[in-house]
Amino acid sequence: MCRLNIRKVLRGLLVVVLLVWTVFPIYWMVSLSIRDDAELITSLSLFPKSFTDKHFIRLFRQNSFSIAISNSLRVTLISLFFSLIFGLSCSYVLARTRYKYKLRGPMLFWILLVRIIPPIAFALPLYIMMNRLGLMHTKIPVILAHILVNIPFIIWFMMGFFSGLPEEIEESAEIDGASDLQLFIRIVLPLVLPGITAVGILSFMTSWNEYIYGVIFVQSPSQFTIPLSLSTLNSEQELAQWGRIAAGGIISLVPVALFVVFAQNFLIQGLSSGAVKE
Amino acid sequence: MKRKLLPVLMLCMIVFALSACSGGIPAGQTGGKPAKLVIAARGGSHVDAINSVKEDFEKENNCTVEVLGLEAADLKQKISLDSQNKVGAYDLAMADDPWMPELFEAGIFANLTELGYKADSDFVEESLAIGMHPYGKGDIYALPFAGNVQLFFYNQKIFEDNKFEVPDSWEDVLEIAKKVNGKDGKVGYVIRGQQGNPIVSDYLPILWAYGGNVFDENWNVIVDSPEAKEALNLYIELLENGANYEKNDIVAAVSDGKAAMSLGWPSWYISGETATAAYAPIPGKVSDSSKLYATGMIGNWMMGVTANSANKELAMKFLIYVTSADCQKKAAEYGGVPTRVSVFTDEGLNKKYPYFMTILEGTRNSVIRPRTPLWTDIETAYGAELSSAISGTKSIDQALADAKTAIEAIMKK
Repeated sequence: MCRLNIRKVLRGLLVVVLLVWTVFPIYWMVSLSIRDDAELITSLSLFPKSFTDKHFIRLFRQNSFSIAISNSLRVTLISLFFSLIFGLSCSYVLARTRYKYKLRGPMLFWILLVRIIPPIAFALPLYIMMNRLGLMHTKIPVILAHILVNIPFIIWFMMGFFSGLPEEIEESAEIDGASDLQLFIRIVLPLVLPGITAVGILSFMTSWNEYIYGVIFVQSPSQFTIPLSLSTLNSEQELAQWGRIAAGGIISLVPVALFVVFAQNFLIQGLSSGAVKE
Repeated sequence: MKRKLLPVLMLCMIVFALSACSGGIPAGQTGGKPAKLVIAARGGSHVDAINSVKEDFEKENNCTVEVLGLEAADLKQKISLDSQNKVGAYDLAMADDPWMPELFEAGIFANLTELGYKADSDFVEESLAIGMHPYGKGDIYALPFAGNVQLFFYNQKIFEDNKFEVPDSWEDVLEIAKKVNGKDGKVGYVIRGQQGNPIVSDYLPILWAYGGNVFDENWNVIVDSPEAKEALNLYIELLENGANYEKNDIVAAVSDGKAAMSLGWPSWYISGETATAAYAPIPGKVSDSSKLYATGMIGNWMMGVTANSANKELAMKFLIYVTSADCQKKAAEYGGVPTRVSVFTDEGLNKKYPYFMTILEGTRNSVIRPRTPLWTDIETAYGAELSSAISGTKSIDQALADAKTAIEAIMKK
C-alpha cells in the first residue's frame, strides 16, 4: 500500500517536473511580453511587476507584423499543400512493391540525402537558379525551398504507414473496380489519416519557423515572414527588444496551436475510421 | 458535402498560390512607374531613422524608397550574394566598418568619387576615412551613416556612494573593481568574454592602452608581444574582480547598479534622451605615469551605392540626402548617432542628447580595427584563443602563441 503511494507520488512529481519544463518557457515569454521596458532591462523577477500592452501595439504599428503573419501563413499553407500532394503520392508509390521499377533503393537514399545535407548547402545554387528565372521578387523561391525541405520528410515518414497497410484491402478495392487514383484517394489515404495529420503538423511547424531560406530569398520588407521580422529585433549592435520579441513569439504561437488543435480531430478520426465498416 | 469541399479547397489553394507568385517590382525595373530605390540596411534604429526622413526625398524626386532591415550577419551575407547579379536587387547597402576592406575587395560598392562625389569636410575625419579605399587616402566608396565608438560605462550611484572618480587609467579601473566586487553582491567590472567579435572588441582597447596591437606597421602578427601578455593578464584580473556577461546582461547589470563598470557601444545604453548609465571615454593609459594611447574602437555604420545598382545617380543623391546634417538631426530623434561635426556640436541637440559630445571626443581619439579583408576570420580565431585564456583552458602565453599561429595562417591564405 505504502509502496503504491510512493510510486504515485513519484509519478506525480515527474509529471509536475515535465509540465514545468515544457510550460515554463511559454509562461516566461508571456511574462516578458507584458512587462514594461524599464523592468525588462533590470534583473527580472519570476512574476511581472508591471503591465503593458505596448509591445504588442508597437509590433503591429512599427514592425508591420500583420504583413509578416500574412506572409508566413501563405508560404506555410501553400508549401504544405504541395508538399503533401507530392510527398504522399511519392511515398505510396515507393512503399508499394506492386509498382515495379529499378533504382528504388538509390532513389530513397537520394531523397534522404536532401534531408541530411544542411539547408545552407542548397541555398547558393537555389539562389542562382531563382535569380536566373527572375523569381526573386516573388514568394515562389521561399515556397519551393520549403517544399524541398518537407517532401523528403513526408516521404520517409509516411512510408512506414503505407507499408503497414494490408495489401488485401487494396486488392479488394481493385476487384470492385477502383482505379489507382480512386484507390489511393478513397481507400488508402483515409486509412493513414493519423500519419498524414502528424506529418502535416510537423511540416507546418518546420515551414512556419523556417529562417535560412527566408533570409536568403526575401528581397523586400513586404515579404518578411515571422522569423525574419523577429530576428531584426535582436542584433549584437543594439539592445535586444525582449518585449517585442516575446510578443511576436506569443502571436506566432497562435496559428500553430490552432492548426494543431484542428488537425488533432483528424488524428482521432483517422485512428477510428478503419475500425467500423459504414 | 466532402466531395464538393475538396475541389473548392484545391481551387482556393491554387488562387492562394498564384497570389503568392506576384511580387514587387525589382530595383531598377520601374515598368513606367516612379523609380524605386531599395536599401539593404541593418534592422532596428537605422531603419527607423531612414524611414523617418525618406518621405521628403520621395516627393522631391518622384520615387519610392524601400528599406530592407536585416540582422547584421544576414545583411552581410545578402549584399555579398546580391553582388553576384548583373543588376542588383539593392541600390544602396549599409555595412559595418570592419567589413569594409572585404566589401571593397569584392567590388560591392560603386566608386562615389568617380560618380562625381566631393568629400564633405563636415564629416568627422575618422568616420569619413572608413569609406575610403585604400583607407584614409583613396577614393570614397561609402559615407558614414551612423556614428559609433566604444565608451567606458559606469554606474554613477556606485561611484558617488564610494566617492570614486572616473578612472583615466586601467590600474585605476582595476582598483575600483577590487573595491566594489563582492560588496553587497555587486560586481566590479564586467567583461564581454564570448568567443569571436565580443571578446576581441572588449579586449582590444586594453591592448591598445598597453601600446600593443594585432599587427605592426609591416603586417607582422604581434598578438603575443609583452604588451599583449600584460594586457591579457589585466583583462583576466578584471574578470577575477567582476563577471563575464553577454551584452544584454551587461547593460542590465550596469544600468541597475548590480555592476560598476564595463565597456560598451553607446547604442546599448543610450537611446534618445534617457541614458541609463554614465559614460566616459575609455582610459587610454595603463597607469598615471604611462604613455597615453587612443583606445576607443570606432564602429561606424557606412552606406554606399552598390556597384550593380541600376539607379546609381538617384542612389547617390539619396545617400547624400540621408547623410546630410538636416537628416541626421531628424534621425537623432529615432536613436540615430550623427557622423557630422555640425550635428554633434549643435547647441539644441546637445541639450537634448548630452552624450553627443562624448561620442565626438571618442571618435576623434578612436582606433580603427586592422584594415584587412580577412578581419572576420581573424576575429574568430583570435577570439577563440582569448576565450581559452580567460576560461583557464590555456595559459596566457600558450593562448597568445596559438592566436599568432592561427592569424598567420589566415594571413597566408
